[in-house]
Amino acid sequence: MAKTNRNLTKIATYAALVILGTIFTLPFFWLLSTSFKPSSRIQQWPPDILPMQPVRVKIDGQNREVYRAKDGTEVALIERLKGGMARVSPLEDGRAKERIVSADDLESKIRPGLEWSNYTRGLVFIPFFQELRNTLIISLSCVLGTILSCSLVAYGLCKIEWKGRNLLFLILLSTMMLPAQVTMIPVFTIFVRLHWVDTFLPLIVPSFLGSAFFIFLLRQFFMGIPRELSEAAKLDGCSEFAIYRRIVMPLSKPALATVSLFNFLAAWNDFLNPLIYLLDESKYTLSLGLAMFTGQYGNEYGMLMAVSAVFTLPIIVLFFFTQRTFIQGMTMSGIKG
Amino acid sequence: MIRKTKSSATERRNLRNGLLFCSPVIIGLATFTLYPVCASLYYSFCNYPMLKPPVWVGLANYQTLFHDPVFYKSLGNTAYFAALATPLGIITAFFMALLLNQKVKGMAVFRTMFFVPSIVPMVAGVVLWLWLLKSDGGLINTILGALHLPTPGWMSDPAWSKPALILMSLWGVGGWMLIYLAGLQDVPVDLYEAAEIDGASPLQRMLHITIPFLSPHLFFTLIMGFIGAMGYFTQAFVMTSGKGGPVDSTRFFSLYLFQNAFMYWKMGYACAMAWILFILVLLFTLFLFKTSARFVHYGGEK
Amino acid sequence: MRTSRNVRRLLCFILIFSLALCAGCARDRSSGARGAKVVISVWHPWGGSQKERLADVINEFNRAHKDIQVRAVFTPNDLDSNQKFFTSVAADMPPDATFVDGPQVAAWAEQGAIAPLDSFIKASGIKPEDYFAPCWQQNSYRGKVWAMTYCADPNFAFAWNKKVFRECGLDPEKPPTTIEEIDRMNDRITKIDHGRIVRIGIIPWLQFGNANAMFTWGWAYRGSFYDPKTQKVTANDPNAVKALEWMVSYAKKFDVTRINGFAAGFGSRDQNPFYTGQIAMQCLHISQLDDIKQYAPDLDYGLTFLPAPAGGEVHSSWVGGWCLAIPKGSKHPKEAWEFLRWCCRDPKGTQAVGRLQSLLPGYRKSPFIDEVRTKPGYSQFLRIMEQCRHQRPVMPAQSFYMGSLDRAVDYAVYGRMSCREALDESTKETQAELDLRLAGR
Repeated sequence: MAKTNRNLTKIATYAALVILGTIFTLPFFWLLSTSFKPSSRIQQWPPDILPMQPVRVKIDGQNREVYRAKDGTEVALIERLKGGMARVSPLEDGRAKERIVSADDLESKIRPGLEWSNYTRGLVFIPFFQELRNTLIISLSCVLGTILSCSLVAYGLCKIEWKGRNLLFLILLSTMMLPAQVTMIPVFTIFVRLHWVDTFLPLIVPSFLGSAFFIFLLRQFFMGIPRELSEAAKLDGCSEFAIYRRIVMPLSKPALATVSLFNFLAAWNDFLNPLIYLLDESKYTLSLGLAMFTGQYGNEYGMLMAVSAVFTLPIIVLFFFTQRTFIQGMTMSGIKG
Repeated sequence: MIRKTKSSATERRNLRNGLLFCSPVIIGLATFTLYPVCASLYYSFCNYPMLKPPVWVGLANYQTLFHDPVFYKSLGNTAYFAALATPLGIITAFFMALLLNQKVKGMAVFRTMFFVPSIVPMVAGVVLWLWLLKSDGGLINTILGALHLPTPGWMSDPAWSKPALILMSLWGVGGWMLIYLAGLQDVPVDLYEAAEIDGASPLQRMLHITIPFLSPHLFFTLIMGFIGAMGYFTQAFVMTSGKGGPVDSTRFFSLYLFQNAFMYWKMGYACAMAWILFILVLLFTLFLFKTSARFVHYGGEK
Repeated sequence: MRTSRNVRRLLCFILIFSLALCAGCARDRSSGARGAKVVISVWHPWGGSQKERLADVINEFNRAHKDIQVRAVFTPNDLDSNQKFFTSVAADMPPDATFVDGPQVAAWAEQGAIAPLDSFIKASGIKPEDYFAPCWQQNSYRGKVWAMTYCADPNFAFAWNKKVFRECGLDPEKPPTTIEEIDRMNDRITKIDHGRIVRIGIIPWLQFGNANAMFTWGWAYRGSFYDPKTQKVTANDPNAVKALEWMVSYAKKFDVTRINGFAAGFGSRDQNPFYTGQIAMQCLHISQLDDIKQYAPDLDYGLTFLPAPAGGEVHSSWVGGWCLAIPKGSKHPKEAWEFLRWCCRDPKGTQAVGRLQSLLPGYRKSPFIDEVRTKPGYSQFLRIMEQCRHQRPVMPAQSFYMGSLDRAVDYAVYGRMSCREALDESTKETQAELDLRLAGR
């Protein structure tokens, strides 16, 4: 009885995972699929699910696209003529047997295939590697700053009892409640006075000064660490900083890993701040680079999807291999029986 | 319960340590936050077209705001979104975390799949969702149609545009799911076993064990989700080409604020809007803190 | 424990690897400046398929000038371009020159974001007659000139899908020339199968956004939108209302909540339904000539003038396009002016812009104009441009006006308001806004 129940649960679980998983990855799959489509097939209706390539054949030394004619035979398109007509020729026998047919009756012959030019051109269209370097420098520095500063502050807000800590916490939270647009100009002015505009500093330094979101997150995790541990350490004569460094931080690896990941992603995807503070394209980040594929007068969809995929895949892979770190429990023996 | 009384020396030391640990944020607030926040408050009492000096007008902006139908409409849109997206997001992320906590082969792959949307850049995400949500022939409606379910107009239908955006936001709850997943690891397994022996149903186990242990994280996402939802507008802006349509159904508060600040040259008015939002969000957050506090159990603190 | 050590190793490796990878890479495609006298920064919105072409234009300029080099900086004109520009000007860190969207010129001038160019224009001997009239008008405000036209977009050409025409038994070489013909052909073409839309003739308000559609058809119906002499907004003038009523008549032909999925627009992030053959008649922008070659090379379509209602304005159009301006606080106004002059007035410069970016110069005597006369597709746009008489209202509340018209059309199309009410509302709120602006607030 119990076994059947367990099997049913397993099947139900699998089913849910597969269905939901497909829903969640579908858009990314679509991104990948589009990235491998040639421009002429990106705007097809109904759209190709798998990337398709027009079938081509060489006639008279030139690549011609293959179509299916009204009578079902396959022909190569030589040229389009006025009035909706087209000159086509059979696939073999060269151009001797070419004829003129109505273009409306021609159906494009396609086969699944990968268009790599979106990748090769896309990574050159924008200064991808330069922007990657910039983005990595900024993101990794932010992560470092956040880990250092937010853990310290979170510790101070929950492991030490002092007057005014709740007030500080409230003030911190409040900073997230005022829309950024209204403080944008004054903040920019501060950075201008500091001569930090057109450098990475406005993007990095604030993370060394804490961020309400991560402080709050770490605080919640830290509150789950038993007080007995700190009290025992205090009895042994440890300073607060020693407790922080030797007890709380090592136990918080999954929390810190989570914060790192979130912070990295936030910095990686940040668009507005690099846009405002960077005045030189050589300093631009990848999020700005991606914006270069879209314009008022015509977008480069294929390349946008390709570079987005390159932008995204490494993080997915990284996440896949490091997920255990996030999922580990924080507490050690003594609590979990 | 006997409260240990602290000596004033301990109190002073704690105060000093507390301030020391919190010094990064105190410095940060003083340098980069204090002036801009005060400036924006001052601007809210001025006409400030950004490139000309602000001119004091007292409460005029606030008065105009209270008579502005768009102010109320946008606030309504945002409240709708916050009220639905936040709890739905939490519930979705919670169940996803539970689902992903099972001991099932290949779980690493599934977890990655669920997290992918949080990583896909927004530019690409919007293009994809516009396609998915096409009222005629988009994937979602194609599937709904195949199952003989009604196919709403999504972004073309004023009644369905916000639900469409909420749906899109649910797709991105991978981050919260991760937080819950991490939190779930700290729930003592033996408690589950004991409960099962005592005859508790899965639902009871979830209600009385899982949720209390996860409460700090649920609380965190509740607060953050609410604050974020009240400021939501970027995706909506890009999806509707900055219009907030159809018929203003997706004209969120922050969108109207942005329009006033950078399109209508009314930064002072925008600041007034910002401060009203701030007060509303602050009050509601305090309310959430007061009411939810007794539902939140911190494992480490008594 | 071992896992976390490995994870740490992995992360270290990635960090080092990436830094090493990038340390040697400096693939810089941005037009750089090497040992030149003066380097000026120009902020531009030309992304997407125009990005490389603008780089070519900049290279041309740099080659033609030994003492000025241009450093182009891409600033996306979307959610954020206004923010970046205004923030920078407010903090006195503007670029030396900037691109500005045509209809924005008056607002930016009013706010003091850009500087008047009259002294430069006089010194260079430039006359208003050098330009297509609406282009010059778009840049003139309060008796001064604030920008130079970089490209003149005649909006719009009217395109029709010849293949669909053939399928519906319509003569593919005879596009509609009147509104009545559009209506007739639309009824022939539109096919709705059990509520599912298979094909539509035309969706009048989906022409690059509601507001642009309103301008397009409004002027065709001989409506007016703004009287510069009295500074009065006239969106609710009876002809404009008639135009909107025609547009809304289509909302009753099919379910409005289903067809906005067919949205087409500027920099559309969507599938373009005209390219896929789902919409048979559509207004076309000059940039789409290349777009169609790239995304719908098999599309068999034709271009003609905008159809007019009986008694309406024949071959109606209005000019859009981008301009160049010198921001307030520009550190190198003289050199910036040379860039403006070269791109917008110099025979060689305008020819380069036209050739490289496939755009129409505003300078009507540019040698490129003669080349355009023989270019298929572009020649039609040129013919439209030569008869073009309108530009969007040149007044400081233009941005607000666009948003207001957009909503007016929305509310009318969705049946929330009558056309008259919607345009009345628009007129009222825009006038209020305009009065505030003009009062200097």
